[in-house]
Amino acid sequence: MAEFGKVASVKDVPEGSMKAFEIGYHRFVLCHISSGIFAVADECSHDSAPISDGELRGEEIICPRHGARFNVKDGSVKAPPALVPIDTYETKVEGDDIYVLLD
Amino acid sequence: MNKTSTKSTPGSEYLIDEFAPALKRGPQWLRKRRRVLRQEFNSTPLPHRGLHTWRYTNPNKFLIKHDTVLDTAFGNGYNAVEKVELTHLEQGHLSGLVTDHGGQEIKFHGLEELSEKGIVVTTLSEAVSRHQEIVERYLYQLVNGKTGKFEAMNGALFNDGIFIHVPNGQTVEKPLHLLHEAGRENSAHFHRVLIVVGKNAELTVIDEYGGGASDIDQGVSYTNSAVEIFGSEESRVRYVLLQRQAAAAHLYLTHRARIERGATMLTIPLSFGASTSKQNFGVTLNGEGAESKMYGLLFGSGHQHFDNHTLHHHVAGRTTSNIDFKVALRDRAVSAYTGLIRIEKGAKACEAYQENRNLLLNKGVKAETIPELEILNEDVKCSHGATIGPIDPLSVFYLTSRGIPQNEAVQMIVSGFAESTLKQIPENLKERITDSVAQRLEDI
Repeated sequence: MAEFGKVASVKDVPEGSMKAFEIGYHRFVLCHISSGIFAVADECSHDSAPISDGELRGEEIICPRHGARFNVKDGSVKAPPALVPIDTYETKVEGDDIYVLLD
Repeated sequence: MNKTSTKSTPGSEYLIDEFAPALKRGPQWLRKRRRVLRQEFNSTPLPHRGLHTWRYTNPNKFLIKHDTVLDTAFGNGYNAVEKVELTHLEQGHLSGLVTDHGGQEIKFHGLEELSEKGIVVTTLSEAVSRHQEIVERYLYQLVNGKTGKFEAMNGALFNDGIFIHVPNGQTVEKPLHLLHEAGRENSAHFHRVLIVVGKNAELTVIDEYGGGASDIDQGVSYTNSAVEIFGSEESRVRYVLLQRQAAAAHLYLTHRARIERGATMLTIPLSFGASTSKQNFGVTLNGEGAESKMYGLLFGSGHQHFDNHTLHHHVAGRTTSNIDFKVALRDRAVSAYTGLIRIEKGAKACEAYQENRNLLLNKGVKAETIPELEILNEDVKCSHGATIGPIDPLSVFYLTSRGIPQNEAVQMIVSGFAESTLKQIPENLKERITDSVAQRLEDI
């Protein structure tokens, strides 16, 4: 059953940065942008690269391998060669703690 | 929610301590080699994710902390399989059974007949002294620090293992079954299998990996295994790998075989278990007329992640190889397959074939396939191919139009897909493998 789990404190992921986590079977990256903290799967849909090794630029995360770009808010593709969106995870912030919804 | 978070630390590495207990195991020559392998492990960087063999799997999953190496708590369900195979032994389906509890306790069953024929089946720890000449000559020849970082890790730290020697002209008519049990959560198990088959000798081995951690929230188990097989001239070896580790197990396995003139090798990797498994199978065809066949079957479900490699290396001319690697995936399972055929410059008149078929049973699964050829001369016959796709809806429609329910139709199609591999499996395994396939097709 899906439930929220605490994964980090806000201070662990300062605004403009991202950080990868692995919990159970899920590997995701927390991205702290000006409009909030979002979580997306840490795997490029094009070639399975860990996108947390790439770059966070504004609302977009850039894959280090071939430069595919994804919007961290909804996982949508913003630049090829990826064609398929990446998975997103619901997040919430309570106090200083960041929670992510995982099954 | 009792879940432990693990921060990703790309590039971070564990080093094998110079005082690690495993480095002190065995006679002096072995301890010396262990120390060299420790240095090779420590000095080899973690594989880069850009390397094509590491594109799809995070190498950090195969690093462990030293204080977990000696955990000996074993998983449940092992005795049940042991009982089944002991019954098969009593019924005469097997020539012998070896049960290996994480390299800590290895037991041998029903090997009297084999020892009368001069066939040796024993632990590596005993073989290094009692059969030193053979072990020293062959151990680490095919799987060593040059093979990779995690192979060096195994070479330095292996707890124990199994040694099999079939002398020239001897035949082991029925399969010899090796049953390895991994430890539970937060344990690590390193072991090796060394098989030396003499001229014109014959052997069938079933190498089964079970146990391991079952609840990923409590932690994972880790198994690192190395298998080395030497087939002398005109020998006939069949090697079946059955991987059915538990849902939170991580497995890294490297298999390498070398066969000489006129020898045949049949390799059957069957993968059903583990959370993350990276398996590497390779055969070197080192003498004219040598022939190697591989029939692989992988069935993934849940969140399982499989990463398999195969290698057929033609060093000698007039050698033949064939690979048929089948993958079926459901739920959110992921499989990556990389298969290389390499034919050396002097290896004329070789024939090599490779096929990888992937069946995707629902949306959300993922399969990658990279068949590769490296051919250094022009006098060869080679082909390779790969397919990835869902079940043909017309086939399902055909069956349902004849009154067969949809789920049964899918089950029939998948069973048919696996059939060519299943018919290569030794008798004692058929029922269990068929059950494993059927279990994964439930509720589809």
